[in-house]
Amino acid sequence: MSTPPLAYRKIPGGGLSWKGRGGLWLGEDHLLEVTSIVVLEQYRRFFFREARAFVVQRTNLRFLWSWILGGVGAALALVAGSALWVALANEKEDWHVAFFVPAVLFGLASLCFLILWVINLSLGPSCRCHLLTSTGWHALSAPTRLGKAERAQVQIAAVIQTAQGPAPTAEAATP
Amino acid sequence: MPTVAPVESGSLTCPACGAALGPYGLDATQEAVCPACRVGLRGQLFRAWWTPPASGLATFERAMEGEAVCFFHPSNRAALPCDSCGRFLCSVCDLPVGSRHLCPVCLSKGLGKEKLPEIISRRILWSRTALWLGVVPLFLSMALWPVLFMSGGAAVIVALVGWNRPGSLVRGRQRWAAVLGLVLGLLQVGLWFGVIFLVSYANSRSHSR
Repeated sequence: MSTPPLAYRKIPGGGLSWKGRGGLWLGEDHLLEVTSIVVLEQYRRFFFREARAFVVQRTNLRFLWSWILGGVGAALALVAGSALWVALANEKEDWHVAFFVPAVLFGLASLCFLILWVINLSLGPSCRCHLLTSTGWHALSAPTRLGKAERAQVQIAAVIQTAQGPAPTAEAATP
Repeated sequence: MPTVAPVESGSLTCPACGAALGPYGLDATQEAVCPACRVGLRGQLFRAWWTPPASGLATFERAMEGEAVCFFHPSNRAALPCDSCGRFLCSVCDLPVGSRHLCPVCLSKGLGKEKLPEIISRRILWSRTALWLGVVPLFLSMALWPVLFMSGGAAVIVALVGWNRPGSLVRGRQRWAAVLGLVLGLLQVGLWFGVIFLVSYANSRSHSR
């Protein structure tokens, strides 16, 4: 059986969750959600003609992650600072060198968390996208940041409206 | 031309809590708040919300004298040919898959061997497996050197076996990953032999003294 190659176009924005790394792709007549876990890719298709609504829901994951990453980073920095302080305060003792090792290790770990904290804050507010079809709401695995989701919404709405035609509006109802 | 007010086909619900929002409770440009859970929502409704597509219930017509008939139902009028094998199909046997129309036989063939990309729900990426088998053990080679022979061999086998297997639906086969996995797998095997050679060489030197 001959199988024509499928052409997909990537929609900006990804997502990371316990289900894996998510992404949305635009096909000829459907939206493809790809969730990949290391070497396994899982697919969900949403046909344009069946889409009833697309919603971006604001979430507080960015706030939660900033507290987690910032808290752990600060705790590690505190341990590193304490170890450094002990090492410097006892400079005349022979064992003071041993405290430089945890100071450096905890300092590096703290730096990693600080970088992740900055990345999380710089990515912008978090969100979750939903698509409504005849079978109900479907939570999408991507995009998970508001800026990218707004751009994705514009692209997805454009192709759905091309497939279905423009939706009737409240203004259109007034003579 | 007079315009007709859109007909509501039920109440739109909040995707987060399930409370009713109303069909005009969404705005694409401005964030609205769910009256129940107070979560911020932004979005839009499409035409299918007011006019859902027709249900896919098949209706068929009896064939008249001299008309083309369905391959599977000789009494039914043929509606269209199968896009794969060309058999005439009635609307009962027509199975739309993406933009194509297939007969039940071609669809079952496609399901069995994963030949139809339109209906695949998951795929194992062989090239990426080879890459992981090639890269990860190398990073842990200090601790994992006794198993480098196996992981390297596995990377080589997976890269070769999966060379012609279908890859990702959206990214293709990614053969560069298979090639890299193959090279790193061979490197692991080489490292393992190198370590064994060095150990045996050092042992023979110590015994000769």
